[in-house]
This record gives sequence, C-alpha cells and structure tokens, in this order.
Amino acid sequence: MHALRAALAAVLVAAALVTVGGAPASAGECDGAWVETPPGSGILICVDTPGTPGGGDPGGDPGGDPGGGPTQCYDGNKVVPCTDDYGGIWDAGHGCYAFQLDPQPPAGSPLWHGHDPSEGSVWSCDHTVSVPANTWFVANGAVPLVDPAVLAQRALDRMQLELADAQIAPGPDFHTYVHIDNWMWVPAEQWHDLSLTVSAGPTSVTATAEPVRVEWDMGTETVTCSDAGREWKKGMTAAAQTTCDYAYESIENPTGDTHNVSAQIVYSVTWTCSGACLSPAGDLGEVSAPSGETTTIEVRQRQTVVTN
Amino acid sequence: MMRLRRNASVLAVATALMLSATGCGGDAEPKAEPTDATTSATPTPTESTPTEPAWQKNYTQEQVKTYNAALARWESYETRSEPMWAAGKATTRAEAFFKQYFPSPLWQKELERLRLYAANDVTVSGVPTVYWSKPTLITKNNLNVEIQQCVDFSDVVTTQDGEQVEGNKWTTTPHLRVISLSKPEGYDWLIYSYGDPEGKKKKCTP
Repeated sequence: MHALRAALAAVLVAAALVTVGGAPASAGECDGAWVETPPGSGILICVDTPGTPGGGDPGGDPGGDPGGGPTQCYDGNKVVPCTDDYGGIWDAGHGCYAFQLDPQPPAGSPLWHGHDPSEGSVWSCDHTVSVPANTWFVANGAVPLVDPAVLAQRALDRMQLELADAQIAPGPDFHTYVHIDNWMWVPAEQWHDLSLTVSAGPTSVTATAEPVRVEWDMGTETVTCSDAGREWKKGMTAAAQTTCDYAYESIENPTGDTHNVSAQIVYSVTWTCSGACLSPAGDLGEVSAPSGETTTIEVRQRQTVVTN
Repeated sequence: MMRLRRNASVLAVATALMLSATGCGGDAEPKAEPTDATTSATPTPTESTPTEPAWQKNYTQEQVKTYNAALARWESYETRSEPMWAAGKATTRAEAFFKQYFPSPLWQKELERLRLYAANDVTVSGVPTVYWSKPTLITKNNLNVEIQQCVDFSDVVTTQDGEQVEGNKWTTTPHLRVISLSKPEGYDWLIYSYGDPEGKKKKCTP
C-alpha cells in the first residue's frame, strides 16, 4: 500500500518542505494530507492531520458581548479568531496569521529586505520556513497589536479550571433528615488561583482566575458558599462549625427523597498585559467551571410518636 | 482510521503554495557580500566539493570561518535530530532540542511535525548523502549564511505503520537543498529555513 502511495505520488515534481494539504494530482488516494518525509526527500506519506492553527480553537469570542468583549477579527465579512495556536495575529491585509520572528534575524539577513533592524521588525505568516519570499518588514510604530482581552480569553480557554468534586456529610452511604444542617465542601486542593500567559507578537497577557465562591445544586435549589467549605470528619462534635451547609426543609416522598448534589467553582478572571499593550489590565468577569464528581444525599423525615 | 480515499486534485494549488513558501537562491551564483580577499581558508567539512576553491576566493578568511561554523551547526542539527525522527515521538527533550536550533515559531512547527509522525506511526531513519556544500550568501557582518548542498536521500528510510515507504525519483536523484542560518545576538546559529530552492527540485551534479 505504501509503495502504491509513493508511486502515485511520484508525479509530484515540486515538493514542499512539508506539503500538508497538497496532493499528487492523479493520486486521489489520501484522505488526510501528503507530507514529504523528510522534507526534500521525495518520499511522500499520507497522514491524518490535526486542525490548522486557529481553525478549531477560537482565539477570541466572536459572539461575545459587543459592549465590553474583545475586539473581533474579520476575514472579509467572516468573523475569525484573532490569534492562532502559534501566537500569530490575524492580518487581514495578508489574509493570514502573522507573527514576528523570535529572535529577529541579525542585520544583513535577506529577511530584512534591505532595512536596518533599528527601523522595525520582520514578520511572516509561514511557520515552516522564513525566507524573503514569505516575510515582510513592519516599521516601528506600525506593528499590529492584538487586543489583550482576546489573548486573555484565549488564556482562559486553555486554563484547566478545577471541576469541583462535590462532597457532603452525611454522604451517600447514610441519610439525613429535614431541618438538619448538612455540610458541603470541595477538596481543599481544588480551591486555588490559576494563571496562564499567552503571547501574540510583542504582546503577552497573563490571565489569573481566582475562585470566589462555590455554587451548589442541592437538587431542590441552588446554594452559594463563599469558599470551599470545611471537610466534615468523623469524630467532630456538634459544636463544630462550617462555612457551607444546607438543610432541606421538606420531602415529597414519605419514605425519603434522594437528591443529586453537584458543585461548581466560580472564578473571577482578571488579566495583565506586558510588552506592547493596547491596555495594561482588565477583567473577563466571572466564569463558572463545569462541575466535577457529583454525589447524592437521601433526606428523610423524622416520625414522632406521642404516647401517653 | 482510514488515511486514504480522497479524490484530491489540488496539486496546482499546493505547488503554488509551495512556491510561495520558499524563496531561496537555487543554483545561482553567490549573492553574497564577497570581498576581493584571496586568503586561503580552512577546508570545509565537504572536502570533495569541486567548487570549493572557486567560492573561497570570493570571501575573506573570516567569512569562510563563518560559513564553516554555520555548516557545522546545520550538520549538528541533522545528525542530532536523526534519532528523534527515527523514534518518531514528540518528547519534552525534542522540544528543548528544536528550541536550540530554530527561531519561534519555526521550532513549534518542527515539533508539530514530530507529533504528526507520532500520530501516524511514521519514522525516518538515516540522513541524506551530501555530495558537496557551498555558500550562496555570507554577509559581511558574518551573521547570516545561506548554504547550498547537493544531496540525495537514498540512505534515508521512511516507514509508516512499520512498512517502508518508497520514494519517487527525487529520492535517489542528487538535487539541491538550501539552508539559511542566522546568528542573532545572544544565540547560536539558528535555522531560518531549509528545503528545496524556490520550492522546486533541481538536479545537481555530485
């Protein structure tokens, strides 16, 4: 099969460094992409390719709040992500994601197109090779800057927010009663700040997500706790205190109700910008992380029998 | 997952993209910044180069030294990267390695290529045979070098799913390769491009 692929590919007389997306004209045999492996060898393999940068992971929030959300980027009339996975910035003029070479080539390199490095910087859209044909010079002061809020949103998208594992006492192996306070908590290690930096061109944005509360779905209503709560441990006395508890007021089934209980950590997300910035800092508001492990609680009604 | 079965007819487009993606000097005479110096220089690692004496006359001893350093750097990359391509695994060590040799975001692309190989069970063993090397550019500040090589890939073995993939005629035909290296301040020589000159295969004489 591989020999067949190669034979069919032999018509490809012009081979790129990495010909992802191209194909031998008469082949009609590759459902992914032909890749010259290694580059320049004339050996072509058919591979499954991941999505192209920026194609499947929106860098911004194209449908976001027009009042305070990140700036939108357009390819004609089409909204596109403002950045790609390599830190490229959407360049509508070139119709691609442009990046500043890092480090910049030294003076005298053909990539400068005759300019001195003190005059500006070298940019490109081609991530595979940097040659004069695919690079251009951008003068100082004309460097395209991406909205830092876009980068902050991108950082948030990549952030691994904690999926709260709901814990409750009494746990699913026992039961509680109406009007009894039940302790809820999420593991202490899930309650912490998160931070991630994303760069595009000369702009770097660090987004920080600080947990501010936990929203509990108790099955009957939503309860908010201002922190992770306190873990109940066997042996605690009735005098023990917690910052997060809830008492069911009633039951529907005379033999007891069972509720699914889940928790979501809510983060307050702020960002700071370094390098070349359109604005120094900002915030993305509050973001709820998805819930993690859920638990259950069975609620019963105490039956009082009065005897005389 | 099925890798085959797509009726593709985009060679022309692909070729155009390829051509636009590269722009090196091909087999042209040096577009260097030569001097009228006629100093003798230390031999390059490719001593069999028939044109070596001729091109060396166009450069100063310092430029020849620069060229040799850049060439050695490229050879170092090709030799040291071979086990990584042969293993076909994108590791943190590989990432660190590519960062040593490429600017950003080119090193990320190399790493992505390694990931692509890993995902498609591809390995590449061996290095091309280099018949000769010569500079097509050595800037006077000794910070930028373009190297032209005559190579063939007869000794390179590419496998996919454990089977060797046969190449086309260019695999065994000596052809040109162009490598551009620069030495930014605070860095060793970095590879800014390598591949076919102007996106085209061009025969060369060993």
